[in-house]
Amino acid sequence: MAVRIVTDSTADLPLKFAHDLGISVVPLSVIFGDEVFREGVDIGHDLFYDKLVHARDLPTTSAPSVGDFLEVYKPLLKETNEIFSVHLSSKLSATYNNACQAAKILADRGARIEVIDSQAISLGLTFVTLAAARAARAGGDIEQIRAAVERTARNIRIYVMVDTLEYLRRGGRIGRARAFLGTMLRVKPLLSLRDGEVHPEERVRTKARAMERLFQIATSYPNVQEVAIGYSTNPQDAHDFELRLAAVMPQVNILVTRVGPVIGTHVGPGALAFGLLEGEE
Amino acid sequence: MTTRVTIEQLSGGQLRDMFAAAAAWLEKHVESVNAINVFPVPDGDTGTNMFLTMRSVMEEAKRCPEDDAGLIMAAMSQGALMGARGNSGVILSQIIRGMARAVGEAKGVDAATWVRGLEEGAAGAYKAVTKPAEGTILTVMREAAEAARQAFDSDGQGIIGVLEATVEAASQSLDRTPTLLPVLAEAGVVDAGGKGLLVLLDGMARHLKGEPMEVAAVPVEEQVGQEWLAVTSQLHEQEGSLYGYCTEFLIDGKEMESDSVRNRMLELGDSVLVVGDDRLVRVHLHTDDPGAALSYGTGLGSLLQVKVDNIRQQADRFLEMHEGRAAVEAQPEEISSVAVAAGEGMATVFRSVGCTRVVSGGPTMNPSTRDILEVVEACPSDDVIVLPNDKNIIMAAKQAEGLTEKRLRVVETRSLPQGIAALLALNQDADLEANVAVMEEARHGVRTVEVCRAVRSTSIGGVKVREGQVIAVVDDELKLAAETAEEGVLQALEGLEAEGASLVTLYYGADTKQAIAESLGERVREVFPRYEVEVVHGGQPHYDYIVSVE
Repeated sequence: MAVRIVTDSTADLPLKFAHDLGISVVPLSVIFGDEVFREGVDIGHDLFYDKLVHARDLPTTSAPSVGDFLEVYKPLLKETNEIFSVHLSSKLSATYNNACQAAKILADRGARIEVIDSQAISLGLTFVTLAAARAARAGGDIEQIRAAVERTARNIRIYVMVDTLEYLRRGGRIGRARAFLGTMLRVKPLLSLRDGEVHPEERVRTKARAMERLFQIATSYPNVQEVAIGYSTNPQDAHDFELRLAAVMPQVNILVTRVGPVIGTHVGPGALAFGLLEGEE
Repeated sequence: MTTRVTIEQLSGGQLRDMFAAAAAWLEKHVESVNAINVFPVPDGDTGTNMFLTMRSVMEEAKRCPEDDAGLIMAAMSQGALMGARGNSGVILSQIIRGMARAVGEAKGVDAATWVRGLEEGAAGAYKAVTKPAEGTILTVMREAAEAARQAFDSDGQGIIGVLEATVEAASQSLDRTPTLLPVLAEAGVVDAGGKGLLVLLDGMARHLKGEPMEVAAVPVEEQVGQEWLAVTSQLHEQEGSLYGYCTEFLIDGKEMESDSVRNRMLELGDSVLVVGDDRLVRVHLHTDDPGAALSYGTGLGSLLQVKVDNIRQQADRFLEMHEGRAAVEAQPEEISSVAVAAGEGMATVFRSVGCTRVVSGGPTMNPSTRDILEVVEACPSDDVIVLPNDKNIIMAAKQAEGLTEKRLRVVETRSLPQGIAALLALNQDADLEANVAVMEEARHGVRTVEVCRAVRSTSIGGVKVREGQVIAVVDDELKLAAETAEEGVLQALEGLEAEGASLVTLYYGADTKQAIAESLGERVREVFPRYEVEVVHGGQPHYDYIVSVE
């Protein structure tokens, strides 16, 4: 019986991918006022970003409950005894903790559910989840899957350009950075995800120059295995970035994806991100 | 179809009804005026203050039983003075006072008198303010009065026609306020006092034309930009007493001279408004020491309607009202930054990129070591980086290093653009020394062009300059002389070697018009398509333009 892989909706996995690889996805939610939408289930990307831009009050986000995890785990346990559940950084969300609790409840009934904090989000969690799924498909046991996941997780680099820090700041996800806005000079912050936390890296004036800098950073890594590009509202930016990267790293597979409502709530409109997976050695 | 009524003359009673309708119309708009109140301080009470002033106007009008226009106007003028609240309320009281002066003892008000009243009102409003700012209720009133004069003189309009032209002009004038007052453009709103005035004039016109005015309160249509609010609330957190106390009172005395009262108030604070006559003087000011203002008033007569508000609190409430979301919390900073800059626009630019404190100063006014030290001591963190932004200030800044318990480092920025570039490189995640290193590197990545007028004829390094020409200084080196500042900028950019540079920012000075700076920006875009071009209000004295190329 193969190990089954569970992740959450912030992995931003295209549905087809998830389905083909047998990955179960537990949705986080975005909340506008008193309306709760499960990401990828109750609200599509277009509708969400339309609401994000036009709503007077920003949405908040919410982790899946312990019950939500039980609902996903229980049916899977009819097909397997072992589940590998990999989630977004525990420093940014309660998702991992809730998964752990659900796993503990079921462990008392004899199931083995391994819950992992990937310390990644979005594009990074995509890589990690895919690594887990591939290892499972190859017949790996939980230890082997964990080894594959850890190897992947430590080689992920994620950078994002946001149009404004406003959304991250309001969501309380910005750590120690002083969230000044710099609107007057069109300052675009570049941030990275390190050790499961959002770190401000640089502040570059104007979007064109910030995208140029993002490109420089992406191409500064010598041994890139895979690239994912994510955007919130500007597909053209993502496409341009993809073309430029493809020209300098033609052998590398580049995946372009739109980040979902939960990540979108925190990065806001106009964000462009890349995640890359470095090879070891 | 509305039938066109013409009104030759308004009786006192009709005048009273018209003002009452205007006050009622304003009441319905109070919230939408409050919502956009950002100048001179963002305290969100302009609509309320103007309405309360109008209420006092109407109370006095109702107490006057006559049907004589002169007497009614005089009563309303008195009511305005007695009840004026806030900056805009005081200005409004002077507008009404000017109108009353024009009406004089006339039994009725015809179009000619009404036009004169508007003109007197505008003149009175300007006189009330010690430092009149354009893009405010003053501009709207003046331009409205000018349009009224035009409509009356050339088109021979009656009262309704004049009033329609007045409303139209006020509305257009209001739309232009953000181009005159940068803070409005930054906040993305029009002037609140000007809007209140437009509502009043509009209410009068609607009343005379018999248009329906029975609507529910007008919802808030315009909102202050969220980002402006966030920057402003950060300022509030950083600067202790940014505005002090809004202090208002009425002195009931004898043989008082408004001018001497005003001069004393100017010593005590700003946003000073002193209006009234020799027996009754209304005072409005923002001061750190309301006690001194009040005791001065007591020396002249008895004080009525004393009102002291902590502006900071009012402003915070205003910000909260707009937040409606999670409160904006200041992030603790590990490393504070202090920049020396001249010009309100430049100070705002520095704050907008996270500068903790700005010391006022520049090439023509070097701050002392002590000035810098005081600001450094007031910074919240123990690590402080100082950006002198001028080669002649570096020494004074460096001297401060040894005079404080704090860990102070000077990044030797020689121009404002260098300072901004350095500040953008500051990273709270890194330690002080690492930051000094990256900020030093960042300041070298920007070229600076400074353009100003030559004060005397000279010849330096082969460049001949005649007095009255402009000179362009590139990274502290005199490069060329030109006839206009704009030519100077273009020529300096032409001769500049800035490999890899992609962005030109034109910071235009206090004496440079925005429209001219914008058209220079267009020119630079045409001539140098490789650059992105930004035009930013620097408001610096002395320099027409400070240009960064990076």
